Amino acid sequence: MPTPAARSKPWPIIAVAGWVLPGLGHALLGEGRRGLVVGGMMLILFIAGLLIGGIDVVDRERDTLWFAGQAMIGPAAFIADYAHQRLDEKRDRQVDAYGTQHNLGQHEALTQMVRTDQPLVYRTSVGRVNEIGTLYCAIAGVMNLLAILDAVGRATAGRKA
Amino acid sequence: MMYELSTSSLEPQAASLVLAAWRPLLDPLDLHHPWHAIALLVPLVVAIAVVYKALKLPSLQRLVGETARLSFYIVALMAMAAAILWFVVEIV
Repeated sequence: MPTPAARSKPWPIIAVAGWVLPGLGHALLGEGRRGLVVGGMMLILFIAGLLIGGIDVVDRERDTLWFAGQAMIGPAAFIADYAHQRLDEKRDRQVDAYGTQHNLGQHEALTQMVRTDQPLVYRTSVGRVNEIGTLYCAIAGVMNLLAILDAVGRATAGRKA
Repeated sequence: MMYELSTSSLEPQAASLVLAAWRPLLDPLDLHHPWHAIALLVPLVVAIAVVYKALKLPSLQRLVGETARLSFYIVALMAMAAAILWFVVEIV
């Protein structure tokens, strides 16, 4: 049950806390167990999405709409996207070097590297695997939005647990 | 589970080499059969049910039972919808 002191926290702080770390908004309201269950499950879902589809499933530049949903999980999505973009640059340099060595364009070089199982910096996920991984991460983000709205509702209405 | 999903047609030694080659976060899982994707929807449904019930229940004491019930309903409804759509596409 949220304590009166916890309920006195301004709702913007609760909302931002819930975005920065899933479940923290509820924890600040004195509902630590609820915050732990909700936040823990959403983080597990997000990480599972990354493990299923690879870092490729979080892409602010090529999948902007999906990223809009994924971004609601908090800074974790932006960290994953940053890592993805850096790996993209590294892979581009790797593919360019291979293309130069074999006199191929970038697209042909990447295709040949994939077909011949060359060790790439990271592998792009395609098809169902990419869909499932992207969905896991996006659902985690959207569910966190639900959690933030619930925490804000409890903070403003002073609801009992 | 990784062995069953991606290497069922290989000898165990080759399968272990394939498993060792997977780099977490850098490589996607090796899932090509349609049933793999369907199987991965079940944990997603359970996670959604856990979060939803954890937010809605006044007390978390009945969380496990309520989550199991909601998960069953969602999966059952999805299966029914799939059956109806299959019937419409294949038969009608």
